[in-house]
Amino acid sequence: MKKLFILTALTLGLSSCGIQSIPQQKNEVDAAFAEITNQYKRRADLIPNIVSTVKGYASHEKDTLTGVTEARAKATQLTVDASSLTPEKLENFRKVQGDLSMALGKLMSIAENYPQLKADTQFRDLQAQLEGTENRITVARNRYIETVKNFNNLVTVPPTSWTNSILYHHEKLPQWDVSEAEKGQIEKAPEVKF
Amino acid sequence: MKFQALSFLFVFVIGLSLPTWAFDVPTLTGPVIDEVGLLSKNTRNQLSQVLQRVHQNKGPQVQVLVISSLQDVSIEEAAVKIFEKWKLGGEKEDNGVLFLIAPNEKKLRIEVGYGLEGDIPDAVAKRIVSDVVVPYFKRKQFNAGVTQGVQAILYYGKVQVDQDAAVAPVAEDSPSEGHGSSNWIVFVIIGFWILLFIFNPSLALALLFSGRGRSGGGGSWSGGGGWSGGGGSSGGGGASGSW
Repeated sequence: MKKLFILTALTLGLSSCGIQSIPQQKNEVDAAFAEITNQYKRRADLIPNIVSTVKGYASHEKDTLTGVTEARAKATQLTVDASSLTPEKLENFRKVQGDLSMALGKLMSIAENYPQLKADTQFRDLQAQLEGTENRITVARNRYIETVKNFNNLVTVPPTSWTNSILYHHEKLPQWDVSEAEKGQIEKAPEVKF
Repeated sequence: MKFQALSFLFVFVIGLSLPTWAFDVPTLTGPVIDEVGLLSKNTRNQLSQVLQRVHQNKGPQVQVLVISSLQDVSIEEAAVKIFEKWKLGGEKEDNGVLFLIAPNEKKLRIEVGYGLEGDIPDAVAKRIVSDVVVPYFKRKQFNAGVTQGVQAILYYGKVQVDQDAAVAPVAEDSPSEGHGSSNWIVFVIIGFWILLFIFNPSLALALLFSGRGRSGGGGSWSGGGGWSGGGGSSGGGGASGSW
């Protein structure tokens, strides 16, 4: 009985020192990052359909169309793994996806000049899906930022940081800070007017 | 010294509470919350009863919120924040839907929980927003617009209930055709209601809810019928629009 009590007390004590919460939060971070890549993948999957629909009405907008296709190719080539994420890798990933956002934004804004394209039911559906996906990306990114913040708090703020330096030796994770210029581009991209 | 400690504590507390200042989520009091009095009392009561019943029958948890201000954030962000706080839908099913209307910003959004993203994909949500609701809102027929929007959400959302009808009883008048060929039926139904609403709105409302609303026992639920989120979540799915 006494043993049980000590065991419970010990577990309770340990549970607030980060022995559990650090690995748990690390898993949260990995899951949150997987969600971002998942949503970017969803966007990449939409693009061929969008490109071919736009092509049907505006085939002479070649530069913009190839721009999107090339940016998509670059973005899908780069696969990142949440568990081996370095600041450089993250930066690169962000840049490639940001370029794709820009190219897509341009494509959707030229669609404004084609009334028939805008009226196309398939295009409207694709537009709605793209808007939804961009919004999901934003949500996933915000949640990732939040989980990284919590993780970094655990590994840098005592008392959990002591546990980290004794047991886990986790480094602070790179934060997903969107530069101001990039922010403008990204926010512009999903702005698809009807 | 004491003052210093106190002011430190004060700063600390403010620092802690800063993130939550970003958006002030209203309290969840019932299936239909109208902060600005956009809807008539009748519509509010009837919609509340319907939504309450649908949810009790293990259907989706559909929430209507007419919000007085978006507090300078985008409607998408507001919807996510509200959904996160209210946790609409069951924890496993994630079958919540938030129908958010911001009359002062003239914006609306249907935010779909994870579990319903298959039944109400973004394209469908967008159609409900721009083809069903917005035309009414443009003519300032908010009661009809919200009612029709909710009907459309329920129509698509119920498909899931139909599929495992063995466990979940289907609310009496939900169309139970399979989804593949039923697209035109929606348009016929919607067309019928549009016509009815144009020619005789009060009859339309009465008809719409007479089947389901009667046994509810008046406004008894509003005393606190236990309307709360069940742990569901959303990830930004759905569609927005403006009028």
